[in-house]
Amino acid sequence: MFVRSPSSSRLQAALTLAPVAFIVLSVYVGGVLWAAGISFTRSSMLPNYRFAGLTQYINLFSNARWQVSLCNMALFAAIFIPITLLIGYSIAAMINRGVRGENALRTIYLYPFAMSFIVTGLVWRWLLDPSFGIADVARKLGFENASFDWIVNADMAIFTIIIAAIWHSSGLVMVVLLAGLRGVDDDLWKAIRIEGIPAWKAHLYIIMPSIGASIATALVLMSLTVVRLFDVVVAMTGGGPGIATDVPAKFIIDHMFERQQVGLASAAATTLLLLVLAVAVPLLILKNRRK
Amino acid sequence: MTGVQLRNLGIRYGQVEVLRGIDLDIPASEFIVLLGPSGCGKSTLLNAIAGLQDVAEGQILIGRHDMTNVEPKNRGIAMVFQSYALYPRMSVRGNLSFGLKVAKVAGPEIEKRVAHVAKMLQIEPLLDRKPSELSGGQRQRVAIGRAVVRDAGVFLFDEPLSNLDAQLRSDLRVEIKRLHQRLRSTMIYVTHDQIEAMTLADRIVVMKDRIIQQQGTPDEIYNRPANTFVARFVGSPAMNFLDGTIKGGDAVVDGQAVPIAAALSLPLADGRKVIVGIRPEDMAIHADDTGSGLTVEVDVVEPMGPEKLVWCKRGDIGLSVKAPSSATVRPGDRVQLGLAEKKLHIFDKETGKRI
Amino acid sequence: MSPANTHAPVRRNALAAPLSRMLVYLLLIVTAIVALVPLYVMIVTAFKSMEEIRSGTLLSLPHSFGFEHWWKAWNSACTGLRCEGLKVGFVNSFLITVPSVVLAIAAGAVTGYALSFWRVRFANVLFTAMLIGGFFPYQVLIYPLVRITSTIGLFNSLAGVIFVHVVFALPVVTLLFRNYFASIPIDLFKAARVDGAGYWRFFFSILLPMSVPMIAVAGILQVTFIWNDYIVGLVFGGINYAPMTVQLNNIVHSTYGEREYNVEMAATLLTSIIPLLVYFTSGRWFVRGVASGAVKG
Repeated sequence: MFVRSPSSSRLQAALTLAPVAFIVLSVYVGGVLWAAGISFTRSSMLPNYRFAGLTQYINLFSNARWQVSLCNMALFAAIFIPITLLIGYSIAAMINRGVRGENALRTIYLYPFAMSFIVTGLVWRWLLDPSFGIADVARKLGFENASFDWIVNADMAIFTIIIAAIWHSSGLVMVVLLAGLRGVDDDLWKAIRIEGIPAWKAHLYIIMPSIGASIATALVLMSLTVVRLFDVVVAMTGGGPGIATDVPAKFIIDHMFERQQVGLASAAATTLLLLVLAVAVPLLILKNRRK
Repeated sequence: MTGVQLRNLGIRYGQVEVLRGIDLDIPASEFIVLLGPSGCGKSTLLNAIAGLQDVAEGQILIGRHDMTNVEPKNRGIAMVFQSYALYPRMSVRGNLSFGLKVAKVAGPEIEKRVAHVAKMLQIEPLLDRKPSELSGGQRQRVAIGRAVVRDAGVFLFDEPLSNLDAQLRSDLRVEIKRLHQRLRSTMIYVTHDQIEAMTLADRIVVMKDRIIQQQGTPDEIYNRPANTFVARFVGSPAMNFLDGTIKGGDAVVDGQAVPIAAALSLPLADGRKVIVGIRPEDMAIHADDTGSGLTVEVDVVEPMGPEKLVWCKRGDIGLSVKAPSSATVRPGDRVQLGLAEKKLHIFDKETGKRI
Repeated sequence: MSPANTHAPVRRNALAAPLSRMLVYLLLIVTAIVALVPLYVMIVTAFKSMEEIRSGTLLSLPHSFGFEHWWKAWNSACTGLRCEGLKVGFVNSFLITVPSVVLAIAAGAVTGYALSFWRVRFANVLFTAMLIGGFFPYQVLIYPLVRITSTIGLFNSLAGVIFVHVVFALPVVTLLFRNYFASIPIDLFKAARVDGAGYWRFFFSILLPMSVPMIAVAGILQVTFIWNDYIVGLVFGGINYAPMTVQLNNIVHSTYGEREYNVEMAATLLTSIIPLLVYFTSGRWFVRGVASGAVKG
């Protein structure tokens, strides 16, 4: 409930909000609507306004590269999100027991998040290099037939990107979940202990539900990583071998700028946006309703 | 000296009515307490007087001027909050002088007034500390100082003692009373604590369900509650209520006649349903075989030091009775309760209003 | 990584079986080592000569410390057609990051303030729009932003990059500040109003001094995000204002002939130095920002 305020102050508040409102209207609303509009035109190198119906969308979904991109994103999400969550939760639960050197450990786990995705991609490209990377370490340790060529293998390359992303995000998820665990009442732990509930049951049925907000936040952050996935692919594989590791974000940028198919790229962008909104809007409504 | 008048005040949050038809006349220098359970609208009313709350209808007069649409700073009021609301990054001195600085009071004058108030409230040694370095009691003292330094005609207190522990609460209660005796300003004090209300108030306004239930001196509120709500809300432990039906001038409670004539100015017609109220201290416990009274069984005995609180039952009826600490009653005893006839409160069963 | 649920009975349990306790430490340390391997490999590779890289292994320590690859990465590595190393990108990243962060925080703080304490028509609509906007994939907004910036003549300019960064940062920073302001007791606002503080007086005299921790948190987060950004710099910076990340990627991907892994890793490290420095010196704030801002959001 707002405190009563004079109209002069309300006017000042409105004036303060005006530039931001203008940006939101022109970029977030206007820009997106315009881009969506472009997706229904024949625009190629430059936008034009010749109506093309659903042509761009039909072309888009019959485009092999787009199909691969979507599949890669789905695969990425299906593996990246649960594994990162599992790692993040496990570490958070262990740290939450109270361990020595907690600060140092936390600093180590989170530092990858401070690195750019470009750096992440380049480092992991080097680490997973078939000739000089960890495969080479294994060979020189005596496993002479060791080979690890996922990064140049069209079927496996996407998994190397998943590995790099998990490395980048686990610490972040851990920190978010740890903050949630720290908010759990100490008495709850005591009650669990007195009742003699097995640890895994306690975590699954009591602790996890009570840090639902933190888990939701972690899920949102990871979902954002999924849809924005671009830099790490560019740095690590450039989308290759071939188009094996292409993702929607890269598809959009390539078609917008290099291939100059603005209409097709806009159709892809609009599709991606609808996907995001389909996930985000129910989440937001759910969160607001709980408040 | 500044009085406050509220005329037919109504407040709404959107569609929800929070206060309705509030009429209240607060003479200058009065200490008035707004008492009620949480959510009764008493804090909203105080905020409206402060100018921090939009008013849907009615008028607020402070010192005979219509202040309904005037900014808080121009109403000649000062306010103390439950959460202290000290400005965290300013020293105590900064907190005390901020309002004066905003009002562009001259530097030396500010210094003089801050020093005066600091001395009055004995917070001089704290002047250069930050709020985070103060205890709860000290913080509330500073918050009171910040109000006093404004030199306002009307002081508004919004549950100022609710965040303090029991000892500090009674200390500061005395402090506030002393302040009122010294300043003679009008003070409007919101609380849900009936002890605070009884000890501080010249007049208590009991509120519930968007309206004023009763206003009167602490004595009137305690001894002549206007309805069952006021009767139950004021007094601890709460007043006992017994359902009865009038027969031959007595109230028949659970088959036993209780004489009530002395509590009424006019006898009631037979068959009328009433509620008989009696405070725990207005009953006496007699051994089972001595004379008339309400026969009950002792359920639980709580020794309280100077006295004992005896919880009794009779069928579905539960009663609490204050007994001297020397009383020798044990759970399971059957005893007679003697009710002080003049101290009975008779309410209409239907409306809950005092008869 | 095995799940915690097999060995995390009760927190702070001094009497827990020593075995399970050791297992916890073992797992934590192994995980920490795994997390550190990439940084370690980056550092050792950057110091090795190419010969050593070929003969030794990824994990072995360098025999001699060579700085010439560092110098090359900084000064003369080729980023496409030009061979001036990363130093240009470093300066560009600096020129982009500092004003972007300052502007984003100023705008976010003031917007969060207007949204939190004052009743403004359609404020909720605006805030919801920003929240949803925060979920938008950048790729959706990039083309409209290209058109907008070229219309107002900011495309391929420093101001253009900064503008786009501020636009992208606004939802997050506003959310951070709004949530922080929402946690401030409303009594404080009332007290200031009774004391006569107006719109800007309350903001500058009372709110802003209280918000120093939040400003630090938002600042650190945004420095990291904007320094690490790739796509905005790539699209809007053009050739003249390409940030370090873009140049780094160009150095690595435009080498012809034998790849110089040591130069690549030196360049990678150089690009990471600023965010790592910020992170290791003020990690506490960083953690707080990520945890509090994110959890409440």
